[in-house]
Formats: sequence, structure tokens, C-alpha cells
Amino acid sequence: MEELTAAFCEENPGVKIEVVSSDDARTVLQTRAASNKMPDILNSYPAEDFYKNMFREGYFEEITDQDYLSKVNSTALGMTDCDGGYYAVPMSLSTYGIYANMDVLNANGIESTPATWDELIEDCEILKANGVTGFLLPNKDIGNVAQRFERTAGIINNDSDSEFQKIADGEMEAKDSPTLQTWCDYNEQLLNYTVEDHMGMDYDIAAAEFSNGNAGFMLSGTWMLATVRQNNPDANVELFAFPHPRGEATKVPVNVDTAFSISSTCADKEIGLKFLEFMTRQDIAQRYCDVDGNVSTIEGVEYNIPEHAAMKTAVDEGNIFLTAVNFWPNGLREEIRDCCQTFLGDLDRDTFFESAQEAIETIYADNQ
Amino acid sequence: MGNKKESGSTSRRQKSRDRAFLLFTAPGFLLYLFFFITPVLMGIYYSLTDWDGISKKYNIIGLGNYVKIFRTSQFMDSLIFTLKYTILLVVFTIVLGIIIAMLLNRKIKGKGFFRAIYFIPAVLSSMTIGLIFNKLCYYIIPIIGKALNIAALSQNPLADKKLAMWTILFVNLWQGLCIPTLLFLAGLQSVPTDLYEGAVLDGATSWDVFRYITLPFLLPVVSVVFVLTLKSGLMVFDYIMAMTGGGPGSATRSVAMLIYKHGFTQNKYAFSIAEAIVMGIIVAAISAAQIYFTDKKKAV
Repeated sequence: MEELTAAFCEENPGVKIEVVSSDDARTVLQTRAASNKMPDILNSYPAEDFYKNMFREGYFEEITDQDYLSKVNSTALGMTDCDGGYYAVPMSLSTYGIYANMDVLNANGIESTPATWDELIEDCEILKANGVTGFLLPNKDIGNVAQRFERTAGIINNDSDSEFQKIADGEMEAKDSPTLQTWCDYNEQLLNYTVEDHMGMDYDIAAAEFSNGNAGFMLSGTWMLATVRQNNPDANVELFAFPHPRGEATKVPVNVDTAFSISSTCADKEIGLKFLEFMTRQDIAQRYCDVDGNVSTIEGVEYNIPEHAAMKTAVDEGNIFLTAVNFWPNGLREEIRDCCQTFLGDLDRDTFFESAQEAIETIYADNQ
Repeated sequence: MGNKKESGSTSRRQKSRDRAFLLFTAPGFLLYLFFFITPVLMGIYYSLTDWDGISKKYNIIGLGNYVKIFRTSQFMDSLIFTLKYTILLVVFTIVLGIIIAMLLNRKIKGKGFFRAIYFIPAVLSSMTIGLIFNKLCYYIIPIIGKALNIAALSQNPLADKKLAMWTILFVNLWQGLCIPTLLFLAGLQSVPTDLYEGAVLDGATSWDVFRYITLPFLLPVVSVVFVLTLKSGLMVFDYIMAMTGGGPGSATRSVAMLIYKHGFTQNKYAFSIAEAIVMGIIVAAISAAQIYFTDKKKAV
């Protein structure tokens, strides 16, 4: 990003851009918005309700009439629509699935990534029999647990929101929810193939172990490739679609991962708009895509990441769905994650369903 | 006539003194009003609304947020955890702080070296320390646990619901003990040595010396350390954020973590402010009790 902003500054003498990144961007953004110190240009997640509310409240500049939006893939652009207007240029889509360490699989006689749930379990059995960890599940990392729940609950039921709404309305109990039951089932299965201390494992530790060939599979999204390469530049990995645990057809969850916006308090809106145009140029978007690792949404950009070939195919074929966090009421993921983590530690279904029921009822009531 | 003149002059002097006092007090009072009283009043106001932290419009909903706090067991669970943690932190800080200060106060070889080494953790940030111990707990503790055949330590202690709090407490003490120990050390050096010599001549035991000479001299420091540790225990956030994120489940979720979760991850700002105010009232009540008992002690 710093290289690209430097290129922009060179093209526009007198312009200076300071790049600031944060692990907890949403918190930083909220505090800056509250103190009226929004950054001039920022990365937003325009498909999420939280950002859409900010668009509606006038924190961002509307860019609906900008010509360069025509360079953006129409499906991706459609995901960012807010009441018929646009406030961000979506640059890339992240996809979520299972990373396979091909060197580990090949060394154990497995030639290709599994296409079905049963094949995945078979592969894990082979690895287990050979004394190799099948799956890495960093269950100490509550943020990762929350994300895994949200992404895979969405795969199990692309319309999980409707099912949870029924629970909130008293039309269904959490213990009877097919989505929650399947989520428990598949996790119970995968826990047979993970490390003994999975409840003590953080995401970064798991990513390092996976990159260094200490496990066969790990759930994550396209953003993990940069970490894998950093940990082990020679790692031979592939990302494939998470097979539906009940054997049904599976779709890949996607999210708009990078989208540039300008704030309504931007010191020089003309320069801000010029920067968005700059980022949508094919050569610049290509440079960004090559480093970012996510699927580019800018027309004409080639996706040269063989590790993610299966994801690119899924996007091209439209075998994707916008991930659940964009539809769930604000805060559900953060509310339900505690009981998910507890379940992964004790496998107590009764307590899980009871806590999930309370979490769903509370959040849906708060967001009415 | 003379008396009247004298009394008029005294009154003028009094007024002038009052004006001077007022002028000296005003900057401090205005700063306190602006930085402390105003945010508290604004907080109370926002706690009576449904503000989500982003919207420019909001509605007054009365005491709705306060009623909602007790709708689930989350707040009470976090409060119980926070109080338990605070009590343990206060007790261990005072007891271990005094013991370490007494050891460092002895005439031992390399005293200066030990004192310097011991205070190194104080210069590191609590977040950095939390992250370092996070790795130690995953990579090192299980190896030690397995070697010593201690089942509880053969896995990451932060992943165990019962051990997680004790591990965070240990790390907090490892760093947090430095300053209280320094204060106790300063307190120990204020004890006149002739008192110790007299006590030894009178045949006092070590315990008697500590109880009747050292401890009374340390009591004012104990009071300061008590207040500082109480505050840091009740507001504990950074160690937990760095080490467990409040988990496993919600086993180590303090009230400060809960307030953060509701405010920043769920946009229930007004609700989280109401929780902060309830916590503020609890802290105020504990502080009032502490002041009452301290004053009583002084009177005796």
C-alpha cells in the first residue's frame, strides 16, 4: 500500500499520504468518528451493516456518479449498494475455505484436495494413522472462533439469518436448529484430528505450524496466504471450498475485503476522488492484487495466485454467497462466540444450545 | 471606634485572602470540572438514550439501559470475576510486596543488582508482557508440566477455565509488584534502626519485630498500595485482552472487557455507558468504605 501511495504522490506533486494501519480498525474508526477526526481516505467494508449505517449518517462521501465504478465487477459492486448509492470502490473479494498443505498431503499419499466432507474425513484419518495432525483449530483465539462460526454457519445454511430470526421469534428453539446442530456435529468430528492443546492455540501459532508443514488442513480465508509465505516462503499450499458437512452442494463465502472510500470531512475531496480513480487503473489494481492475495474486482486484472485457483473458479462461476456477517444483526458474531468457544472446549451441547438461544434472543431484540 | 476600624481591616484582609484562595483554586477546579465532572454528566445523559455511537440522532429511553443490564447474567458474572480478581490482586500485591521489599532491604551481596533486575518488568508495557506470556504459556509451560508430571500444567493454562484467571493474575503480579515493592522499600527505610536494636535487646522475636515495629511504619504505604491496586484490579483490561480475550468462553471477562465488547463490537454505546456508571457506583461505594475505615483507624 505504501508503494502505491508513493506512486500516487509522485504523480501528484504536493500531495502527501500517510498510511496508517490498525489491527482493530473498526474501534479506531468509531473513536475517530466520535471525535470528528475521520481519516481522509480509508478502507471500509461496504457490505457490512455497520458501514452502511455510517454511510447513511453522512460520514462518507457518496461516489455513485464516478465513472471509474464501471471498471468494477458488477456483482461485487452490487454487494456494496447502500439504498441505491455507492460510497466505496470495492477492490477485492476475500474468499473463505480450507487451506491444504500439499507437501504434507503428498507425503502421506494424498494427491489432491478433498471434494466432499467424507473425503476430507478420510484424508484426516490417513494423516492421523500416520501420526500427522489433520486439522489445526486455533480455539484459544476467540476472534478466530467467531469468524469460523460465522463463515461455516453460512456455508451450512446460506440463509442462516432467517433461521436465527425464527429462534429469536420463538418459532424454533436453538436445540432444534439444523444449522447449529450441523455446526456442532462437524466440529466434534474435526476435533478428533486436531492437536491435543487446541484450546490453547492462537491463530498466529496455528498459521506458523501449518505453514511449516506440521498439519494437513486449516480453515481460513485468502488473506492467510501472506502469513503463510512470511512463515515459510516455500510452503506449498492450496485453498479449496469447505465441503458441506451434510453432503449438500457447497458455496464459497465471500466478503468485500478492500474497498476505498473518502470521508465527508476529507481535506481535499478532489484529490481523494483522484486517488480512488488511481486505484482502479488496471496496472495499479494488478499490483495491489498480486500482493493482497484476494480476488480482484477490477475488470481486466489477472489473478496470478495458483494457490487460490479454486476460489477464482468459484467466483467466476458465481458459486459464492455474501458471508453471513453482512446479514446478521450487529453484534451477533461477538455475542455467540463465547458459547462456541465453550462448546469447543467441553462439547456440552445442552449448555451450548442454551447459551446460543440467549445470545440470539438478546441480539435480535436489541436490533429490532 | 478603634475596634470598628480594626474589625473592618480584618474583614478586608479576610476577603482579600478568600479572593486569593479562590483564584488559586479556580484553575484546578475548572480543569476538574471540564475533564472529570462534565464527561460523567454527559455519560449519565447518554446512558438514558439509545445512542449507538454512530448515529447523530438518538432517543431518550429513560432507565431502559439500566434495566437491561440485569436481563442476562453477563454483568453479574463479569462483576463477580472482577471482584474475585481484585481481592486476590490486592492481597498478593501487599503480602508479596512487603516480603520482597524486606528481602531487598537486607544486607546481601549484589543488592543493587537484584533491585535493578527486579524492576525491569515495570518498564515494559502490560500489553507486551501479556503477549510474551501468551507464547510462554503455549510453548514452555506444557513442557514443564509434562516433565514434572503435573496434569494441570501439561496444556496451555490460559485454555483452562480454572487456571486462566490465576495465570493472568500471576503475570499481572510479575509486572505490577515492582512499584508497590519500591514503595514498601522506601517505607522500610524510614523505620529508625535503633528501634530494631532495642527490640532485639529486649528479646523480641522476628515476628514481634515485624508486627510491632515494621508494620506500623508501613501502614500508610499499605493504604496507598491498597488504593492503587484496587483501582487497577477493578479496571483490569489490558492483560486479559492480550492473553485470553475474556475466554475460555467468558471465564476471564472483566467488567471493563464487557463494557468494551458492548460498546465497540456491538455498537451498544448507551448501554455500555450505563454499565460503566453502575461499575462507577460500585467503585465509589468500595472507595467510600475504604476511606471510612482508614479515617477510623487514624482516629484510634
